[in-house]
Amino acid sequence: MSGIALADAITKKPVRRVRRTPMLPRWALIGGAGVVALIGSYPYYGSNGYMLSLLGKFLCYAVFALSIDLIWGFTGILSLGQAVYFGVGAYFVAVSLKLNYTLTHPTRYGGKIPDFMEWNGLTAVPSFMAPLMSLPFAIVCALVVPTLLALLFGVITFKRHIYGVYCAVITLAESLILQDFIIEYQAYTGGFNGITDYSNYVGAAFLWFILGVTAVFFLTGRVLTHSRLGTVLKSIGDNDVRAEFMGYNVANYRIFVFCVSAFMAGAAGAMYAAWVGLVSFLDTGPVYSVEAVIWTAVGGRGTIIGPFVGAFLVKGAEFFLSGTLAEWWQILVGGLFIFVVLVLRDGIVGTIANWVRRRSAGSFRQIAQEADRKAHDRQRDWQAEGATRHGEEAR
Amino acid sequence: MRKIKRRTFLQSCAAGMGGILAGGTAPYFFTRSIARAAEGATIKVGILHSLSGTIAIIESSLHNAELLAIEEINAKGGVLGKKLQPVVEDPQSMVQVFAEKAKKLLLEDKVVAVLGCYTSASRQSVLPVFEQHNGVLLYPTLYEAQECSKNCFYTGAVPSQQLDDFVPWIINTLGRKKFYLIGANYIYPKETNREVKALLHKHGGQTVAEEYSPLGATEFSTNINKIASSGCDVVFSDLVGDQIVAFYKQYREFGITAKDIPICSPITTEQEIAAMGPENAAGHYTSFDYFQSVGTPQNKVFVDRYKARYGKNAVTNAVMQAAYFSAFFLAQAIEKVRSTDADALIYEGLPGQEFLAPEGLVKIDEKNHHTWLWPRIGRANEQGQFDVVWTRKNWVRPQPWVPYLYPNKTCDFSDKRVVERLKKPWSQEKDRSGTINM
Repeated sequence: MSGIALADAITKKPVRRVRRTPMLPRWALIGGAGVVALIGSYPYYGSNGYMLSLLGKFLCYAVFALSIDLIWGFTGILSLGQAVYFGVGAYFVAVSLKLNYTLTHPTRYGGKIPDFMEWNGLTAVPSFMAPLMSLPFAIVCALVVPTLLALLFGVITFKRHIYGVYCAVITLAESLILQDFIIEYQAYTGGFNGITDYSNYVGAAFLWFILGVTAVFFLTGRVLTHSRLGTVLKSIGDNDVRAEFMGYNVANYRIFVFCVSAFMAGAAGAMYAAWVGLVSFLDTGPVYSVEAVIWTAVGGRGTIIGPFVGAFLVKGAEFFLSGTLAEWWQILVGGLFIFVVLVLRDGIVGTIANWVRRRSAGSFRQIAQEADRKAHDRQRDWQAEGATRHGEEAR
Repeated sequence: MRKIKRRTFLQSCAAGMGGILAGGTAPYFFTRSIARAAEGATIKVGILHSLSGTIAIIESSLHNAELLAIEEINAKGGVLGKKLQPVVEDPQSMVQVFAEKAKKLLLEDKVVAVLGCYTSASRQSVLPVFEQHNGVLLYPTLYEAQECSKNCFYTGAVPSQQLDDFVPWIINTLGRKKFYLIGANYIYPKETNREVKALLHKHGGQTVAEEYSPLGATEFSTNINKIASSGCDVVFSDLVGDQIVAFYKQYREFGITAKDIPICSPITTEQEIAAMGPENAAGHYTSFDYFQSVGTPQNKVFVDRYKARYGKNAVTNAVMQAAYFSAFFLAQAIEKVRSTDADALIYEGLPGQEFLAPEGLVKIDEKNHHTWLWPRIGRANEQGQFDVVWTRKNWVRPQPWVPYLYPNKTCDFSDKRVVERLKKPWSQEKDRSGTINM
């Protein structure tokens, strides 16, 4: 390029027509309000206590899936141990509720401490757990401790440039460690039996609370990912090396979004424990984490609505199918996942969105190819060094 | 060409997936509408045992035994002229799912009672649900006791029924006094060993060591080394599940024979022996109220029917037998009160119910919701069965609170103070236990 042409290119700013989608398109606003109304009014039109309990649970699952979507779908950090943050939040609230419950409802041995402490030989609530008697304190812990854990994790890994598959393995280990810890220190955690039999919050009022928190989190997710920050996060997810070259401190962005996501997971866990009235070591385990990854993938990662759709769809299918098709439903859910991974790379919501966006200019085939290409790019992190992206020349 | 291929591939995939999903959901709506239409013609009974996950092997055998019992009841004309309709749910070996499914059975299917659960963890997770919604649970497993819930009927053995005769028998008949206690690290072994130690104290035995290994751990070489050098003359094991299989195998591989140091256990059944191979268990002792080899005529019929239904190689065990006869308890109780109302069953129907079970005549205690059983001691033989070496002459009353550990506690649902408490609605009084302090 000659010097003049270069100067021209620099001075003449190219006219770029940027048509940003609005923060909240009308259809999303109406649809979202519709869903909120549909769920929120269930206590009025539905009389089934079982369905009510499922709705509250599914909302917690949706928030949990959203927390995975933020780090995985948008920023490209696959965590197989996200349930750690969910579980920590859940355990804080459950322990607090249990401690308070035993004050008024003596357990099997008649003491005023939880039964799992009694049968492990404790005679009083250990002093380091005493502050948890205060529910507000426990709620603060349920939100802050997961966030701090995530911060610690982020500083250890992202700051030292540990990404991709190694990061996933570390999160997996983290969740196994927590699980073992809970089972081993059963005098304080209830161990294998988990924590059960305390007064949980059931009924319409708490459902609305969960619904409200869920709505706020999904809006937060949208605001976060639709902003400049969201663009940076997506660019990190697409190509972290380029993002780094452009001057962004990739590690800090990753740490930030990881902390936000842990906060959401902790909140989801706290609401879950208060609603369901039962937590166990399984709520902190890798299986649960992977399950939530599946919900996100099925719904559509990298979209805000995806986790919600995925959690409701997969969990819903599980609860309705596992009764009538006891032996088959797991294969069905597995099949659904394989189908999504093979064919609907962007998940249900992502595929529909692509299709709507490109309806005038492209066929279904093109959209599928695009999704393929994107998926190929994402897999770069998992491949040996030297693999190239689309449009990138081999070095 | 590629274009068409791809599109048709996608379309057929989508169609196939849709078909599978539709095929999956169709039976659900189908059975639901059938269930609606048939409402009134059947009495629904929930079956809540894991058919998938880590404890599926043992739990599906309980599931099978209960279905067999329901088939037999229906073959004899059902209950109140109606057939019993089993509503099967799979809690996937996860406590959360147990609670969820229990809720579904009670609220959506409106079952008259649930036969289900195996582990203490699963029972503890569903009990609040049953108490809140006033359901009836029949729980078939031997367990650690010290519990009595209004809504639960315990048809398995409590430790006092398995240990009160077993421990003195080991000391007096086997002549072995130095006990090495090994168990899994959770509630059942800990509570059981508390009673074992109390009994040892009472009968002049001695605890050499007490050890708990993490649940699921299957490497016991250090433990076995310690056992060999500890100077004990009997090992008392309340390891559970796969641990049993691993422990017995490694014990034999290490070279300790049943003649040197026998393993005595209140939980090792025919099921685990089949899994480990009979040669590994031969000569070791188990205390139970039922073995497959029990010589009653009812047992012969039970074992034959079970094998005819589930295959020649199927083995029966004590927990299955309890699951089997709890279905009969339920049928008789509904017949007795001529109602499917939960409170009628809990206060009048089930307490005092008797049934001629494979192990002998069994009865639900009028006061504490546990079951009168026949303690037996078996020695495992080379065929993977137990030779019954000792049977108690009379049945034994269940004691959820043993007097030598908890002299001030008892469980009595006929006591005025308890009835007073249970009369209040759940929202005002959440304590649904029959335990009273004397």
